[in-house]
Amino acid sequence: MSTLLEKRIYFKLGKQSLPGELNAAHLVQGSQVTAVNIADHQSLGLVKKAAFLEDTNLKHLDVGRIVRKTSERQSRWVIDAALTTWKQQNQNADSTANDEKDTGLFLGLGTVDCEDNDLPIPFDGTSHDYAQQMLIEAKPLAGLILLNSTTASHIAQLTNITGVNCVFSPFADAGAQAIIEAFFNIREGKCRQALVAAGSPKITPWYFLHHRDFFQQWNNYNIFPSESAAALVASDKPGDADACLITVIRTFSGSTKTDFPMMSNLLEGLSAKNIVLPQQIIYTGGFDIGEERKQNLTHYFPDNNLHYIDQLTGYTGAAGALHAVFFAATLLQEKRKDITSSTALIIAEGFNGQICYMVIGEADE
Amino acid sequence: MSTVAITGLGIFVPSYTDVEPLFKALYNGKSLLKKINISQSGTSPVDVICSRINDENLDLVEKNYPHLNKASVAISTKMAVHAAHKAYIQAGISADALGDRLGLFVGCNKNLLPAETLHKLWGEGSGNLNADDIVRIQTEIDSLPQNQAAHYIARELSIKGCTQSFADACTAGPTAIISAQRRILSGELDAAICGAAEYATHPIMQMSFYKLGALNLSRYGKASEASRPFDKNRSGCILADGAAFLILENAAYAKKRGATVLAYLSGATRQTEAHKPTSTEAGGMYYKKCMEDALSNAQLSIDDIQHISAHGTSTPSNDAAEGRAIASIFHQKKSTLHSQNPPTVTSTKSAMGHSLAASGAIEAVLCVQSLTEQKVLPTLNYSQPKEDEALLNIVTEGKSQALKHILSNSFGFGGENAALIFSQNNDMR
Repeated sequence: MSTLLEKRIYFKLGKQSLPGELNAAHLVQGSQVTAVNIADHQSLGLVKKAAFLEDTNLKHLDVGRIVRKTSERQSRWVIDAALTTWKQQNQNADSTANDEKDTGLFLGLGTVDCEDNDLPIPFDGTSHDYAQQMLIEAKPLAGLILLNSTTASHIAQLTNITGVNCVFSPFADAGAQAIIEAFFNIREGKCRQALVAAGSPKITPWYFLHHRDFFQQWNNYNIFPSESAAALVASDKPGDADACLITVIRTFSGSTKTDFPMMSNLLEGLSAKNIVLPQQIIYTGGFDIGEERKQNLTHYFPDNNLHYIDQLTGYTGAAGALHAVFFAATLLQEKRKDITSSTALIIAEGFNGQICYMVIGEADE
Repeated sequence: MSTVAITGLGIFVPSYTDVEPLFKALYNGKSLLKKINISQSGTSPVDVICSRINDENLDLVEKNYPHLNKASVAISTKMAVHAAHKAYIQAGISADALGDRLGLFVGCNKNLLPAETLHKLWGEGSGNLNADDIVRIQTEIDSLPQNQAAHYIARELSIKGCTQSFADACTAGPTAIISAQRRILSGELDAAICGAAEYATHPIMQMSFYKLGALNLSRYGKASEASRPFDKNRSGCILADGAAFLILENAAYAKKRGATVLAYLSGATRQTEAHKPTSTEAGGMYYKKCMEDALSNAQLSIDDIQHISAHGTSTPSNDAAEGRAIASIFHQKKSTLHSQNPPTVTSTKSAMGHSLAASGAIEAVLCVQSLTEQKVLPTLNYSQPKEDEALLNIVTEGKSQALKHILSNSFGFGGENAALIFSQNNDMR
């Protein structure tokens, strides 16, 4: 644990796209994303409300036709967030990190379940019939559109990033894995800075089908899915950073949700390095953390304020971890009187038991 | 000095569920490719050649893992659990003993829905669903999230450390392996289970590749002749199903517990091209950079590499660029060794097809087996390159070869590239 505390990385927050043009500042002030009713044939009866993000044609970023032809909505949101962030922060980016291998690209993405047209392809029963109909109806470049690596490819091409890269899928932990992979690669000298982006799956019947078990689990919580994307730049230099990532810890809990040892290790590590304990705890990956873990958190972090970011934004899948970082950084920057700690703990949980913890601090913490 | 040891291998491809029999079959020139109709009956314009998991293969998994015998478990998951478990058993590690010092790194692009499910969805149409329709969809249609394989392996083997799921197209397997390697080198983990699985012969995948123009259109009478990496008559890739996993360990940890080290992962790199989503630079400059960076990472020179496991998809563009990249590095005149005797090159996709995310992991397993057996596998159907392409030292028949270091390439759609270098354990011989 102590080796993970030897060097921190710094975040410059970039573009955050949420329905209703909300951002982290709005969320910190108490605003919530507004969900609208969704028909049963769209949600397969699994949820009653959802929050939608406006599509973008990327023309405002001078993106060429081939990118628009080989992408669908959720890919375009991530490209928009990543490219806007990169352009906005290009001047802030480490000027010495201009060698091509000095910049990494790390993405957390939901799987692309269908093209922009989410209607099932009509066919008459067999795989043979399906394939024949798909030959007629699917776009020529459908194969590229359905691959997450195409989003990565577009972003790399548009930003000229040629360093180390990874794409993670599909739940809330995927965004955290992208951040953590950037953390390790920067700390280990594999890159000097990294563009990190994440997006939510677009809301279609296919999404609900692939995530049916997830939504069924949250049936009693009025969970609503939300479309979104966000991006940030991570660097080994503070510059004019908005926040820093002090340490990370990950585990797999299966169905038991016992991350007690993680909290113990985390606390031990932070105490050993005299790092102030997190007071703000931000959870993403579901609408409730469960009584057992609430008790654990209270045991280890007695004065904690637990924030359910998904209750504010809606469930945003892989993007949730980035929204949590934006929320934590904004909260810490506010310097409210009731916030006495300069660190925050983010818990990003993937459905099925992947858990990532990230301790965020103020940039000059 | 290599510090990441490989102590376990597991594989699942059509007809072969153990590494050694598969290696022996490939060594003897066996092809796993077959011509099928994607409805698996009759004839149709969508006849394809592929290497597809059949019911008999899956019966074996379901016999060994009865709890996986349900439609809600994806085929990729079934293959992955088997391969990961095999590797775990061979390595002899203990998840209980390792606790959160054992991580899991799984590549899988996606789990596509079976045709029956697609048909049900189409049948329900986009109109208003009644209560019965909803119950039917919620109960009869199976949910197959992308990270399902990671979840099932973690549960099966009681993993307590970090668990990650990668979706980097054809490099997802090597990307997972590299992440595992990095976490071991950093000291976060003592051991990792890493690999990938893909059910790539699904009709949606077949049609996607067909429409992209990347799929072989089979002008050959025999299925076994359809995949022809680096050959002048190649015309596209052949899709395949498969899964492969490796156990990586901190070498000191492996030595301390008395494990048999099969080989070392001595170098690796992964990077983006920032070029084009559809093809790489024709001269192979990005592939060249990837291989050079892997050599640099391993602190090896070009003279140290005896063999290359090529990405070799049998598509015109990949093989041309990869051939040029290999030649530009390893056929240099400044290397007295390699200008006269360049490293042997093979693409096992000639016999096994292209299993996308799984391919790099499968090739990693075969590279390790090559090092332990000191044998190289053949590239089937190769005669000579096109006129303007590089002449490589392609292996056309399985043969014995003294091997210390093997370079393995994986180049994904959209320009996501990775290269791994495996090194012999000198104590093995």
